Amino acid sequence: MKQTLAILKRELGGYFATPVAYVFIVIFLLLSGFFTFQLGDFYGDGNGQASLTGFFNWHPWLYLFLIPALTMRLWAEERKQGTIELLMTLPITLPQAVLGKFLASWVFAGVALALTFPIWITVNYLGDPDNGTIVAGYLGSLLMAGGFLAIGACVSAITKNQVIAFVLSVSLSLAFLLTGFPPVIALFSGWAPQPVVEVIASFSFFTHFDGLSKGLLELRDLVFFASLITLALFANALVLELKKAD
Amino acid sequence: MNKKNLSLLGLALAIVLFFAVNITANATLRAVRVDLTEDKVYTLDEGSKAIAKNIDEPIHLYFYCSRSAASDYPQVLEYADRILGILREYERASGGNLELTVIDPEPFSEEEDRAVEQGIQGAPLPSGDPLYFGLLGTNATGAKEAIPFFSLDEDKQRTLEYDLSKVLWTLAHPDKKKVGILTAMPLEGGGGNPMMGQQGEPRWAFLDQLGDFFEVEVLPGSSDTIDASVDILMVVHPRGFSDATLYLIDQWALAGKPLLVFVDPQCDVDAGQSDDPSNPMSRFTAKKDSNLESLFQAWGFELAKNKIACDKALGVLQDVPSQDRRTSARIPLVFVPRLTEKELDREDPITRLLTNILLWTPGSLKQLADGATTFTPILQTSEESQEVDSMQFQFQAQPRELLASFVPGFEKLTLAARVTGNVKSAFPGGKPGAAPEGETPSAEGEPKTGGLSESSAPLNLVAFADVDMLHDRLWMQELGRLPGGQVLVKPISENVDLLKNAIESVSGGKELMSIRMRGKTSRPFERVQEIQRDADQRLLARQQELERKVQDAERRLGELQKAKSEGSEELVTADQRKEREKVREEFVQARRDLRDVEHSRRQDTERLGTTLKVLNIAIVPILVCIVAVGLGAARIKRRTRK
Repeated sequence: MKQTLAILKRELGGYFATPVAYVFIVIFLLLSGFFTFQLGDFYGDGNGQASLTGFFNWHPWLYLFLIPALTMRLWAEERKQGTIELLMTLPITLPQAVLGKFLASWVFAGVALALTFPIWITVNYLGDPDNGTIVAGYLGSLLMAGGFLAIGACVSAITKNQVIAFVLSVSLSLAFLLTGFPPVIALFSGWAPQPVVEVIASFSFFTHFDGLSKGLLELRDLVFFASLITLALFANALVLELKKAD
Repeated sequence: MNKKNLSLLGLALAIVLFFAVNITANATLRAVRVDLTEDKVYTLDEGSKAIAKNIDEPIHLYFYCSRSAASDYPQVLEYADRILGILREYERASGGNLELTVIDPEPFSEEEDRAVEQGIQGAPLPSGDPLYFGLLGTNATGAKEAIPFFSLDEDKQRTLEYDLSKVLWTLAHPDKKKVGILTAMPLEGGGGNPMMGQQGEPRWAFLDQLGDFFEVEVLPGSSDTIDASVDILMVVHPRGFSDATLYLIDQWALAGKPLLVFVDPQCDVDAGQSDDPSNPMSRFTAKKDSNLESLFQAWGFELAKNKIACDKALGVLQDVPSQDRRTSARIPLVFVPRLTEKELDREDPITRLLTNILLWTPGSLKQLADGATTFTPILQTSEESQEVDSMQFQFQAQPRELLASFVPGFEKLTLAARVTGNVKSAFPGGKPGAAPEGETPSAEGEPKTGGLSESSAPLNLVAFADVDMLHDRLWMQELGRLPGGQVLVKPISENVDLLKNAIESVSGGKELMSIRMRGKTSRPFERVQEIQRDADQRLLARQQELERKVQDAERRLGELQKAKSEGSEELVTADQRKEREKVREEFVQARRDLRDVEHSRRQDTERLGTTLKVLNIAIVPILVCIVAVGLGAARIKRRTRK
């Protein structure tokens, strides 16, 4: 635990020591604000609704491209620069390092998400929103970010090349989004039996984020995100172990 | 087995485990959830639980959902899951008397035929397959209740629980409810005097419309008992009711029994009650108003006395001839408001789905300052309303004069309201005339007649300040009569639907009532509305002045045009031509000014929108940049110092 925290601190410090963190936060905030207000027409000439649905709806798409950009260097860079060997010589186990790095990136994503607070203030200034739903939406968004981050971290461990890591992460994350997307479901429903199609759809971020963004926290959503993160981190550690053996 | 193979095996196992855990969780953990919404929209209401718990005879619910046809529509599946989740909650709360069957009707199957037969609607999908998404309930006596199709409309989704509870409640209480109508009006027709050559009034058609759903009995206004078989009491135009009759209503209300009241400061379909029936002129001074003043007082509200709630924005447009009858103009009848969804409460089940209510010289209801009841308006005027003295309507309303003298009060007037809460009797001394002198009164403080002196159950009342709305001419057009005497009608308003909803709602008991109260469907930007109201108020005078100028110029142009067409072009003098030019210029200028006013009205709202947009998109990124630059500079400084 102590070792994990140490890694977390080191990593988190690392984020803010380079411009990467600031660029990521600024781009995330600019895009989420722009999408919400311009494309989502949140204000709508004053006829809008005091709810953040239009804000949260963009999060899966923002994460799809921004989070792989954040995670692509996570292990790939360490391996490229050879610092991974250094890391392995420290008195920590591999799972601790994996967990520490993941948690650091998650905390960082949480900071970026928290910095969207002006929209919460805005919607409370304009009307009387359901703040319970908003809390659930933020929680859902954070959980979903965790899912994206775990996938990205795992992929980053596979390759030394950051660009490949980015493209692979985006593709894999996209798969986890699209399984809940109507055109994709239609593709399956042509030949697969109905329960199978429903099972496929149940592995989409959309399916599990949707309920949360509407204010309903279901245990199965928590199970999904927790099991996905666990699986991805387990695979992450396994890949590193295998590469080390190479 | 080497290490690599072992690892790969481990990975494969982990993936299998991941899928297994989630498939199991999806199938079994649906009921484990936390409702984080403020209104608890995903939690079964106490009222719903009580309804489910009180099911005595078995009820069977069939939930039709074409899952295979809907598999391309996750929002349908998701909503279906939510409905199923709630239905399972009912099932659990019912303690075994509610049985739920989920049916996925395959196209061309027997199940599909049965679904259609039972009134479940299929929505055609682009793929050609119909989507069935409805609910059918049956009870032990074979009665059926259905929701033909669950609308995906967000507002409707929020009232899901009420709709489901209503189905259950209706199935659990299958007997046709009896509506007793206590009235001073000849609702059943007649009332004419053949000796005077007067033809009797026909029977009011709404009675037949109600007859399809309820048992209806008209009780004369002089009644001194209400039959025990009456479930819902409807008081219509209580003009000249005796104390004994009022006491009946009082006791009914105190028992918390379903009550609808229709009063009117000026009921135009009422022939009126005159002081001197032998005087033919007396019909012009006859009293046409009704009120339940003492009872309303006890219930915490009042009907504004001798005041008609007029509305310029909602008035029905009609061609009205000028005084000299030479011209006519299309103007709003301020005393005939047609209410649209904006004036109807979108939360209350009585009004939430209606969009067209037509009233005639309605009154306005007001909550008393010391009223202890909960008074919730369900029909209101717009803000362009005014209370006009009912004297102006005694003989014949003058639409032009009413419009000319109209001064909007910037206040919504209440035309109908739901009232609930515990109240005291309007007859603190007990039944009027029940204890003649000399009779020994019973124990101290006890009502002498054994009647109620205060609510034994909360008041269950909806009060309307218009009686004309029930009359045929305000809600229907007669298309003809069938040989059996049945009248074919075409509705021109939803007044009767309003009445039906009101009866259903008050008779649904307190369980259904309690469900109504929750779920805020619309959360508008109140701040923006406030700004718009301020701007409206500030600019209204200027706008009216300009509108008058435009109208004036239009009229003068019309007159000049007429003069021109009457005379020949050569006879038009230079002066006239100049005059025409001038008026035209004035017209254009006034129109331009009007547009400016319109623009400045929107300016404040737009400015706020832009400010918020800039603040939200840019302010935090800028701060982050400043922090980054600051930290970077500090770091460089530190490094150079080293």
